[in-house]
Amino acid sequence: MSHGSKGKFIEYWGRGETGPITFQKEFDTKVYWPRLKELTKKYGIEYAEGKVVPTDDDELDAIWQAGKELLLDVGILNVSTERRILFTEEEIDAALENLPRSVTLGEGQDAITIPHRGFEDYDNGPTPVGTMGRILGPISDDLYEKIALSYAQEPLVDYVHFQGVKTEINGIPIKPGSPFEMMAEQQHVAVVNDIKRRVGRPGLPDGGSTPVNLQAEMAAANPLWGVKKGDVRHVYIMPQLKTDYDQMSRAYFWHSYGANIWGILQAYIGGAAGGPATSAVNGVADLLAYVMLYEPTLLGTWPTDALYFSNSSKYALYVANYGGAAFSKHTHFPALVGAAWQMTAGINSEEYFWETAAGAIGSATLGFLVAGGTGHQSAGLDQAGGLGARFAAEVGKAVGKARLTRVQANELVNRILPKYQPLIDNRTLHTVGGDFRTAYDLKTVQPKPEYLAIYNKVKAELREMGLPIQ
Amino acid sequence: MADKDILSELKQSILDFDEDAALELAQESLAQGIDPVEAVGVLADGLNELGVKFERMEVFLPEIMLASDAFKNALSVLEPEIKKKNTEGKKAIPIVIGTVQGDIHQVGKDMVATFLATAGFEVYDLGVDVAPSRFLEEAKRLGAKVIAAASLMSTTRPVQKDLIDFLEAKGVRDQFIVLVGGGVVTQEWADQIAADGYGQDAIATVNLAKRLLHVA
Repeated sequence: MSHGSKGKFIEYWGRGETGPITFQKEFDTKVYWPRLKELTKKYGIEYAEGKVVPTDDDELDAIWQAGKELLLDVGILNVSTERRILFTEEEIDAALENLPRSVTLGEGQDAITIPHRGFEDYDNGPTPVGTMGRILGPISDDLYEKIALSYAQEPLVDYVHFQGVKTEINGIPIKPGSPFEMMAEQQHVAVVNDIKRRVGRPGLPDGGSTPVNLQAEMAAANPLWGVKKGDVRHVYIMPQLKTDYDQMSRAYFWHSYGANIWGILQAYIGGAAGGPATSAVNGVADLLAYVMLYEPTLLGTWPTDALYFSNSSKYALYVANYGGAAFSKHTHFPALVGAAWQMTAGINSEEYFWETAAGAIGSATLGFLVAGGTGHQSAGLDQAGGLGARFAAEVGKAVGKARLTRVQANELVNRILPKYQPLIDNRTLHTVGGDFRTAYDLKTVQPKPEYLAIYNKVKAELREMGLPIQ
Repeated sequence: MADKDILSELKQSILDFDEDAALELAQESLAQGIDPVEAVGVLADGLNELGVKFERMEVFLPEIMLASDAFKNALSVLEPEIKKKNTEGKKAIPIVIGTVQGDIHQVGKDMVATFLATAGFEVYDLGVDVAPSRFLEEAKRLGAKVIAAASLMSTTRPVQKDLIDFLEAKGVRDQFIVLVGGGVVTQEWADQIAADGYGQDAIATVNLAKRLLHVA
């Protein structure tokens, strides 16, 4: 198998010791931002209301070109050395050319292979190309296993981010850098592995990057009892277009361990990446930066509104879908994990399912993996449940059954947005919806009838809108 | 240039995020004998106007940072003159803000800092991974009345309690208003640790700060 940038890490990371000196504030305001604005204007990239799923390929080409030029011109700032890492166009093109065309996560019978998938491609494998279930945010000790089980037991979910955060060990708060963080990570991985065995899926890929510090992740890195080689851990291009020695160390450790790495396009819309259009351009630059600096196994789209944290807002969906599609159209990188990685509403609400549907419809149409599970902006206690991930998969399957075009997907998502966007606009969506205790029977770890009623109600409405969801 | 023109141009330098123009025009305003308090007032108006545009996503974080630099540049020549005249004018209330120890998330904190600055507060951003002792030391050094501590993860949220415990232990708790915020922070948590206020987002935090400090 050939690789994009693996094997060149020493050289590329070493450029962080010799590249142009640029202080962080100077980079943000005098290097990165002006060039991002110029390129977005140069290529005529504009956001307009109603744009959620891209339908114009010329627009995607423009976003791609602008994003690539942005990375070439400004590079990636190594915050640890305050120097920029720069690449030539030949290096970027060579890396893209030599990237693997598919990746495998997990192990044994539970391994999944994720290929590159084109837009509206319903003939080269199942739709969705995969389903990612995400657990994120604080999880009570008494629910940790149950919530993990609620995901692992879902047959339609291929890959789970068991990222629930334990907050205490024996009543002692778990703080980053403490031995308690290391203990918590070892406990978390042990629980997850036990749950996977319990449902008969010992090789289910786990993308649960939970601790803050790498040393805690490393504490659970043992192929016999801990993190498996088929599991996936994160490394970030920090917002915007930045790295540091901690991130590089993560990439180095997990690559040398032989496990997988995931990364995400992280534009903060309204913040340092500007508005939706500049954020989409930044998105392409972000994804290319990952390829050049870390060669992750898997990439995803994770833009958020900066002022009110939402992965599923009209702006975030635009950036995820346009930025992701521009990258996907111009590379053969395996399918991205699309929107939305966490919902804004609490899990026990209609709005949560509408947000999930909006993300999954765009993702499945564009050939991305669908995602679901976590609610309440990933910040609320016990705001995760496997039914959301199941629902995302079912929406994706329905998209495949209907063979939605991008035009149809865009129209459909625009009909869904009014179901929750107004509560994003007035910054109250996170107050809607109960947690896992209200949604699931804690003895059987199955959704309560009243929770299923909400889920079925949204499905019925989606059918009325023309989506053939079962 | 007529007084009104200079003041208008001074405000425009903020709206144009132009730190060189802001400095030049501040100097010119002094040369023309314009009251430095009035000059600072139009600069603050400019920042305020940008704050509204920021909320409407017509300008963005890097531009606000440049505008803040322009404001500080102009202030560097105007403030000494205000002090010479012994004119208090309307003093900006100093606030220190940072992300707590162990936490390196900064975007949310940057948004809050920016909104506070455009609302007329004097914001000292301590950055990320800030120990409780540093919050206290810097707040004392800078004469800040408000400490705003952000935490974006459940594992770093306890440090907000540590901050309040430290202030209590040093016998200075009542000298500071402590605001807490961040993705995993809730009103319940703020009440639990006896913080003075909780801001769900940047706009709410500014409104809260104004209310607690009795600022219009």
